[in-house]
Amino acid sequence: MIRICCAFLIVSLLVAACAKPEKRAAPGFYYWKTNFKLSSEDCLYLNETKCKSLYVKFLDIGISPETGQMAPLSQLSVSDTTGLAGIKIIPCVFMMNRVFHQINAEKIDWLAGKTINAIQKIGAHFPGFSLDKNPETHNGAQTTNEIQIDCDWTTGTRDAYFLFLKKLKSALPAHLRLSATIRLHQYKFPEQTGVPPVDRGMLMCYNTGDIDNPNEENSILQPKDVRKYLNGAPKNYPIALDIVLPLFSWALVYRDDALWKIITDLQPDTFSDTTKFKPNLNVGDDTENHRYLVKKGNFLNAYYLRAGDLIRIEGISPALLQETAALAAQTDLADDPVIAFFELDASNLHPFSPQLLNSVWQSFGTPH
Amino acid sequence: MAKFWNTALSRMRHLNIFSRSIGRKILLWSVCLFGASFFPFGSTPQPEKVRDGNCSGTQSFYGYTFLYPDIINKSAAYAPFFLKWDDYYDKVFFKADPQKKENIEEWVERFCDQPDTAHVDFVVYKASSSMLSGLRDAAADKTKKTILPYSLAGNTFAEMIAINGCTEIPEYLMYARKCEPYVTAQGDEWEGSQPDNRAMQDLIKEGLGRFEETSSQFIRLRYAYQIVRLAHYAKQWQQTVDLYNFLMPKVDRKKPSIIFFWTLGHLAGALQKLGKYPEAAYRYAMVFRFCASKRAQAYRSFRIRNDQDWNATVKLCQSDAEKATLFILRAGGSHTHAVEDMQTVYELDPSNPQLDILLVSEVQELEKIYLRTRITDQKHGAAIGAINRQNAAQHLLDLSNFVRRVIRDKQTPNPKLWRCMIGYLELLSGDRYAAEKSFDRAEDLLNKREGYDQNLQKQIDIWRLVLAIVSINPASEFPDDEAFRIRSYAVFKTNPYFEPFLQDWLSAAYAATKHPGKALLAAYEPSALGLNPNLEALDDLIKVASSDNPVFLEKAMMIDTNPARIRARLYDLKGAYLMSIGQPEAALATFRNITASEQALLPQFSPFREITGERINIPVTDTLLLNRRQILEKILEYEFDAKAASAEKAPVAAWYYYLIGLAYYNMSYFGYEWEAMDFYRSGYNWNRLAQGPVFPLAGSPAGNRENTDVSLALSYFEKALYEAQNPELAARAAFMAARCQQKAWFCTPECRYRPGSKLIPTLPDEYMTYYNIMRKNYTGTAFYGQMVKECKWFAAYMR
Repeated sequence: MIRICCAFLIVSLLVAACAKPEKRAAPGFYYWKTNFKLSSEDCLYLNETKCKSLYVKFLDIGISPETGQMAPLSQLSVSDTTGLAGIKIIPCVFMMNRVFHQINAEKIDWLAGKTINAIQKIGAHFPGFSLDKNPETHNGAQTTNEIQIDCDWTTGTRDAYFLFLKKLKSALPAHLRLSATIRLHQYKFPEQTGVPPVDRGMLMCYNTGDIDNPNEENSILQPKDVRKYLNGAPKNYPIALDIVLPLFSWALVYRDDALWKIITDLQPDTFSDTTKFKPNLNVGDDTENHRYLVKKGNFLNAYYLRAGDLIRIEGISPALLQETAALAAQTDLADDPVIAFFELDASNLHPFSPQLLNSVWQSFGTPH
Repeated sequence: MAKFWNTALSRMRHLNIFSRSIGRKILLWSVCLFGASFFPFGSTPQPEKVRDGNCSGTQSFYGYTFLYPDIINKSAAYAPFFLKWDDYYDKVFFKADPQKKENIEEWVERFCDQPDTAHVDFVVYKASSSMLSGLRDAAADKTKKTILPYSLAGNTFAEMIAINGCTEIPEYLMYARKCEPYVTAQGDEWEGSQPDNRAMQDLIKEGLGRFEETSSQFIRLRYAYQIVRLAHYAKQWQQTVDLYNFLMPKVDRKKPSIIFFWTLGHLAGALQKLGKYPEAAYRYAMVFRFCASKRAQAYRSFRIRNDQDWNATVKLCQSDAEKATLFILRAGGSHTHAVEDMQTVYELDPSNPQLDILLVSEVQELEKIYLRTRITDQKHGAAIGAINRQNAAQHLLDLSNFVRRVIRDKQTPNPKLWRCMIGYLELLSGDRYAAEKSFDRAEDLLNKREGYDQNLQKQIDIWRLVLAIVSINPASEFPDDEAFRIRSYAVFKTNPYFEPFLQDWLSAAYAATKHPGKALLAAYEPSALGLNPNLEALDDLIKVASSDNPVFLEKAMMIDTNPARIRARLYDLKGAYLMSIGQPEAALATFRNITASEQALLPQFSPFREITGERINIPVTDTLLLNRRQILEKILEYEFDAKAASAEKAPVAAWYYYLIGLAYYNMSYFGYEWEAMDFYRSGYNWNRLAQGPVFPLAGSPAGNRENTDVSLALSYFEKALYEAQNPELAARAAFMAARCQQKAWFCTPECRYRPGSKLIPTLPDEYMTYYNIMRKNYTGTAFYGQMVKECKWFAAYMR
């Protein structure tokens, strides 16, 4: 009996030693508007989901149409910082891929310096924000420990982009970690696309479909598309990954079978006016009735729609979010992943209760 | 083209020194002649072709256009906001600074066209505050004894100011200099800027005082502009509106001034910020209508959120002409289906000159559809942003009817343009006879000595050439003569789209008349024939080349009029393709059509060598160099010998089968002699073998076919293994069979291995058959020991 007990104990210890420790997850949100001001509903979601990480887009960097030079195309203006107590701001910089075409090492150095300066300048509008202060040694300060770069790099720009990341990393204080967004195809084919030289990646689990195709069911997200990316992906991604799931919706306007405009900030009753729109059930197996045909020319969110334009509403349902989360859990995430949602915008959040979002992020691991 | 023939040239490494040099010379000649043949006008400009990307459509292509930009009056019209003639307007229009130009013109006009434009420019924009101060002192000195500052000496404008005692002008300019830093972008755009509200308010206060003290209405308006602009840049939206309402009634505006519209633009901006969208939109529309120098800003800022905004804005209009402007702005928001808007504008304001712009813009959209062929889509991918054909037909009809109505009504200020355009619309609709007649009628109206009419004449000349191209009849005896004649016209060289358009059109016409080979050669480089060979196309070309009067090929050859050489190339292509699909007998029959003298010029290979490495670019020295026909003869001979030996249970059967297997493996995509069965190999395709065997490739209508199937080679190695009576040969056959299985695994979608990876790919059990046989049966052979030493992968599999 003692032998059996000992054997059982040894086996148990071995299993415990070999089993992967359960992940410790945390929620996050993206704030992608150009003016920072949290609504009461935004604050409610931050509080109810116990969110401690807010990824805020500080600036877009692209090529100025006026000068042809790389420049910040938009910068965050900060109107109100109420509601941020206890929340860590993670500055994000969106970089157009074009920036890294035909750029030399010297210019990359310059760009890294400019980017850090711009982040510091915008960050100064958040009380207590500093890149220099280590949050671990400055308890309670409204500071940050991470900077994130968002760029959909290609083979042609990879080397320049990766060099930029290296320069940025070397110019940042040691306590700051540098992260970069990773598209699903980059996750699946790291050998072909390369792995950015950063401390951490943010895997973007959306924009999986073909937005240009008028017959696409949902270009934001479809589980079958996600599966395609996950099947055959390497078991171990070389850097620690967080993940971001979509909560946004939009209307895509197709004119003569080609994508014409993307319209955001839609109201729920936008297409209820039957004198202007009629449901279009002729395309595919459209049972959810989220396509409309424009019957009569009219202005919608500052765009003039013409009769015959086809509109496809795309969004994420709670069920789709949960299904995607279950799929995304198969990816090689960090042991302490942030499960972020894109984006914190009251007009998009109404289908998702904070409880639902809690259940989604907690499905990736126990809260830390 | 070069790559294709470089591939052929690289074959020469297999020849010995003597034959190599001769072969290279001969091949170079035939390459040059064959290659030059289809593009006899080497200098003809045409859009650059891309090959390296390994996928088609890597460059944006919006379609062919044959509109001549100078048929539109650029400076007076809204043209830049509706048209996309490449970068024409960037070069001609936007590079200029219309704001500065208009302002200087207004100053010059105010001084009765007396001062020199450059002098006005210097005083208004460049003179420093100290210079302006000196100018003011000179103007204030009634004794006229104070001399002008040195840098203004000889400046006609400064002299007029001083002589006439116009102190208000330098005073105003000094004030404007002070305002400048607060209302223009300063320094580094990375730094951002916050308005210095206190300083700006001080300047507004100062400006208001000066405004009251100034008697010249010309200068008062300018003070009003500076003040309103300061308030706008200070982001004081309501103050901007209040200041505008306070100041503008106090300015005598009998004499029109662009400065009024500049000021109005700032008012519109402030109104928009205050949420008064219709009021703002209406004012932007007025700026757009009347002020060329602020047109671009007004167009970009014009914003109608919804139908309520639109209706309210229309109500603010005080005339039909103003309403017409709103419709023009609305139509400019898109590039399709503006006929409805054009009709509305026409009802409101039939002589509105901006209808010309909308007309041309609409025609551009139709060109995208009607000047495309199936070949255009193959080359460039599906049209980007073009309307589909079904809608386009209705659209073309609507537009044609509208144009005819405008011509009939005779109210347009530019009837000649509309008359020309109806001819082009008829051409696009396929009514060539009517188009010809319309061009004749339009030409009769033109005064050949007048500049604008000369532009229209150039336009008609271009369209007549388009008409000639689309009228080429491929069923006629000499369509190629016609194509060469078209290329010789001077007009042909005025538009870079003519050459590719001619190629596409000719190719589509040949395809429609069941000439796939001619169709392919008309639109693509000759190298496309070998990328993914099409038997129908090759047979078509062989037929043409074999006929008594091979006009197409002979014309194309230009210098080399030896049809035998061309036929040899075509038979070689066809035979190599038949070889690659496992039809050696058919291939041999094809090769036998090549004359003996041409056979001697064909590239030679050595595929029967045993090479165990994976590199495909290796120097091979062998005395057995064979052309494709000889290789096939050898294979068929070996097969005969193998079968005979097998029947007699002779051990040599295995050896013959092994040699045939080696040949097929070495001539596959994975072998060093891949060129024996292919004419273009892309190493990039290693990364996507499962998507093959045909891979997308720019410049090829049917992609690039790679010979990735090694099943034929495997079958011969299996036969060799079966027949082998000695373990060394059996080990060799098993090893090569294992390599075939490994390559077959690489071509499956499940395989994750990519070249360059340091990891040794793990093979599933079903692809390990022959490696297992090696491990089980042949570990004692010398070949096994040698392979374990030489090949890391093999060693790993054996572990």
